[in-house]
Amino acid sequence: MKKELLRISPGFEDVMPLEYKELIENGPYFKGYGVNDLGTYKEILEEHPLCAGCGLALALRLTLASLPNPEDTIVVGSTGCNSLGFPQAALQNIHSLFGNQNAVASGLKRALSLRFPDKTKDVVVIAGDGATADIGLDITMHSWFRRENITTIMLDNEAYANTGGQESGMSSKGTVLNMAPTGKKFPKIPVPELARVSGCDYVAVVSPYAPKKLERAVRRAILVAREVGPTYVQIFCPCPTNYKFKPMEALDIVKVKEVDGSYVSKEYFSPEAEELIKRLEGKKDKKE
Amino acid sequence: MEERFSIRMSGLGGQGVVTAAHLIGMAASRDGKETAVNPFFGAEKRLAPAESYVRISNMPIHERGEVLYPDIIVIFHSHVVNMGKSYTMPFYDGLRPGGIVLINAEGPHDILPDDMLGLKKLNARIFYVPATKIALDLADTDLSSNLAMIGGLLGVKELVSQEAIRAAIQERFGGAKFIASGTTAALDDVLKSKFSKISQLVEKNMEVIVAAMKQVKEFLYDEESLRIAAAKQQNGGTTMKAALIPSARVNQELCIGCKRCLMTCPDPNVIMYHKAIKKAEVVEIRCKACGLCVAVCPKEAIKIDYYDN
Amino acid sequence: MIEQKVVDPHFMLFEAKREKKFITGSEVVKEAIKRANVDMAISYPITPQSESMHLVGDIYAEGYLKDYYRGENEFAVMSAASGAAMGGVRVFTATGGPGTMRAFEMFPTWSGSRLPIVCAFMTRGINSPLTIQPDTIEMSFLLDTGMLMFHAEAGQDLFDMLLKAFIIAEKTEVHVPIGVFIDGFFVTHTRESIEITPEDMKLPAYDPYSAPVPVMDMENVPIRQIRDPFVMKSNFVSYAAHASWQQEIQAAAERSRKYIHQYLGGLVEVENEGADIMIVASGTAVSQSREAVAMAKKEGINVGLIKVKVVRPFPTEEIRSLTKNAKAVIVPEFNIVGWLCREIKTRIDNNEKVMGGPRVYGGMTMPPELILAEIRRCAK
Repeated sequence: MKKELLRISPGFEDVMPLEYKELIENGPYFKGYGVNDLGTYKEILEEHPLCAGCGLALALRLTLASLPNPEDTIVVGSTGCNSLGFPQAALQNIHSLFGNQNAVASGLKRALSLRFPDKTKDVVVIAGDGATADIGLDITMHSWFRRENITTIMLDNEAYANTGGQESGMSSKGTVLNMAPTGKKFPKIPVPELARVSGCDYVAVVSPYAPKKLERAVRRAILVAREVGPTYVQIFCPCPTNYKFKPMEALDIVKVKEVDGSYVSKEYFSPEAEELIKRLEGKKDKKE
Repeated sequence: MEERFSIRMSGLGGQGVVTAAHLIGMAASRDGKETAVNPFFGAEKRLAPAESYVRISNMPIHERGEVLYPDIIVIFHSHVVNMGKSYTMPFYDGLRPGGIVLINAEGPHDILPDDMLGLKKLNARIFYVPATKIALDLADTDLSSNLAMIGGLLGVKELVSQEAIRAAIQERFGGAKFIASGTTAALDDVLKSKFSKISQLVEKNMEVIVAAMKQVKEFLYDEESLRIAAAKQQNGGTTMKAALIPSARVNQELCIGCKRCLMTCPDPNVIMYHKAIKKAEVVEIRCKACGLCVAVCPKEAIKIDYYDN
Repeated sequence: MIEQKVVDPHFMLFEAKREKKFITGSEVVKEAIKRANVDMAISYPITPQSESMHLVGDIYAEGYLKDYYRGENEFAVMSAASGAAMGGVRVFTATGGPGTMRAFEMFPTWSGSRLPIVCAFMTRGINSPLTIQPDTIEMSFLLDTGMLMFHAEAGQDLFDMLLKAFIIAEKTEVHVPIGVFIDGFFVTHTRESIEITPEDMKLPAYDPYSAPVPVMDMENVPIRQIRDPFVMKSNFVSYAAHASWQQEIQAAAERSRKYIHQYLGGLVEVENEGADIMIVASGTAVSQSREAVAMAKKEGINVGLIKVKVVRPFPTEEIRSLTKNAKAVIVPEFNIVGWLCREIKTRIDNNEKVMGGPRVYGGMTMPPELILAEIRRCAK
């Protein structure tokens, strides 16, 4: 975005709503803010109707706070709980149809590359597990095969939460959910592994309860997508409403699954991605 | 000769508006009346507008959808009026002449002067009941507020018998598999977990209902209230005193400024960080009281409590 | 690639000296897109449009388009087209028959999103059973998607309609997608003489900031901009917003009429106006009807022909006035359901005079003799 655009049109200063003024005066645009700056600026995400204690909402909030250049980022979302946050996000975003988000993002990224050849426009897909691993799996994988320069972020609450808690491909085997009254019959779809094999140059699995790790994964994914190839981040956000636990119990659930191996955080770099990140982060060791 | 009675219940997701309407419908049905209950909400989320409509009659009811011309409007939360979180605006549009408005509020509240005049012209009667307070006092959970609202409603007009409502509560929560949405089912479970037995749940909630029936009060229009409302409106303050709302609050003396709370809050700009003094502070009106911040605070410096808004 | 100049569309389409070429319908697509200053095209194979899109790929390789790729299925292709249009570029794609069905959710989505995408539909039968041969039944499914629908009679129409579709679709007060329909095989694979505009002229580029909806390029201020928002029953405002949004899409189609008159010379063309027997037809049915009309004339029967060029918006007033005094209205169609007949019958008075046929379907040819038989029957 041209920096001069970040202002209220002359004459409208007293008419614009307070939150709009706050975005102009104290928003994250052009400032390179990160998760550490939360609490001191007007966030991109505004008040949303997601459940109290929603892990997905936290993941979304942290992801938006981690964008390296929010002033030049366009998000493509998809139907699901996450899409209830996006009408309240102060960056341009597209609510696509269910499952086609990576195709829309492909077209969008290519169009923006044509129109702004000298500028970076980050196109980031943020979608749920149903949208990415079930109804959109083929479209998602083909965007990886084609090596589109987009970042795909899955908010994994292991169910179709927004429609009342049905089993999704990302639910674990045996879980009892709506439409799986006697337990899910097949294992969780290994999307991170599919991403690797499909050519993603950076793949990460994180949770929102380790916010700094999440920030690093989102940033790396976007930076690698700019110059190398497709990237994928999977964020584990347990759903208190449909899995029926208290919100704070999510912290323990994530810890337990990390230890017992059922949901382990990880990071994968292709050689080109590793080289790029090393160069950009100026560190000898990529792990902290 | 048909005697139809239509109720519009307006609240926010998570307050039990839909359940309250359902219980009244079930009870009316048990009392031998014809009844239809239509819930109405968009995205099923906490604090989003949630309405439900109850039609009770001595003859079969065919009409579907919203009750556009209610005999009674029940208000579970002030935000449905002053933040437009409803499906009808202006909020009281359609209320029948001589109709009733019942509000979840602690004391004589302020209604917008225009609304008040409009309601006066209709000869509408306004009632209020401190439903959240009654629920907390007697059942030790704000999840029983909707039952207190039922009590308030019965205190104003005997729509259903007490036996019928008792039986309805038993059926609704008594273990028979009830087809609820995920979010409703989750709150059902929370409610049930507060009581060691279903019979206890039923008894406590009947107590809540009976207490509310007694505590519902009528608001009488007077010049003083009109004056207060007009003054408040001029000062830009929201009118209508709401029920107690829960929120987190930071004890600044214990806070060490680690920021774990604000990095764990799922909602934006709820917890602010004051760099100069290295302390966190909660913007209460934005807080959904989920308790995640409480769980991660290393110094127990943050707690959930109930506040007047 | 030859150097092209942007010229005034009016000059290019109505005044520039045209060259005659003996080419197939698929090649017509190539020639049109070559001159349309298209930024991006996305393709997927399905008979009978594959050749058209191969050729568009070829002109991309020559440098006439800036980006082109083959997608993984029609739904994905149409989705990518919408993403590209939202990013502010001029985009073209094509499909037909089962491909149309596969992509279907995207068509009302395009319209609702106000995307000025031009899509060529090369009509083909719909399963089951399967046929690759022409049938216009898919047009009946698309009548209420909010897309404008131009039905080309043959190659010449196809050339002009494709170019004019971009111009009309991109008008700020229209700004909805346009489907340019052409019957597969009868046109796509048939060779005939087409007059095409000079190779060194192209249409002006698309200006995304002339759109009535925001471009998703983060070159405007950071207000909460989502395309397209849910306007569902979240509160009282949402009802009004959703309802008026739908009305606006309908209104956009109405506003396109004046541009259709300006560039296409009207929604219909008529010959032998005022005859007792009038044929109303679109697409290849017009071609067959021309032959039948000539045959009828030899037998001394006077028949008029109304060629419907634009199906959406529908030429209601034109059809009403042109059929008012007719004693019989014949509607030959290449589909079993008779969608054009239905469209006419619901809009005119005394509609018992509308003959629902003849119809052929599943890929059959419609011999002019079949139409002639109906003419004779009506003449009695």
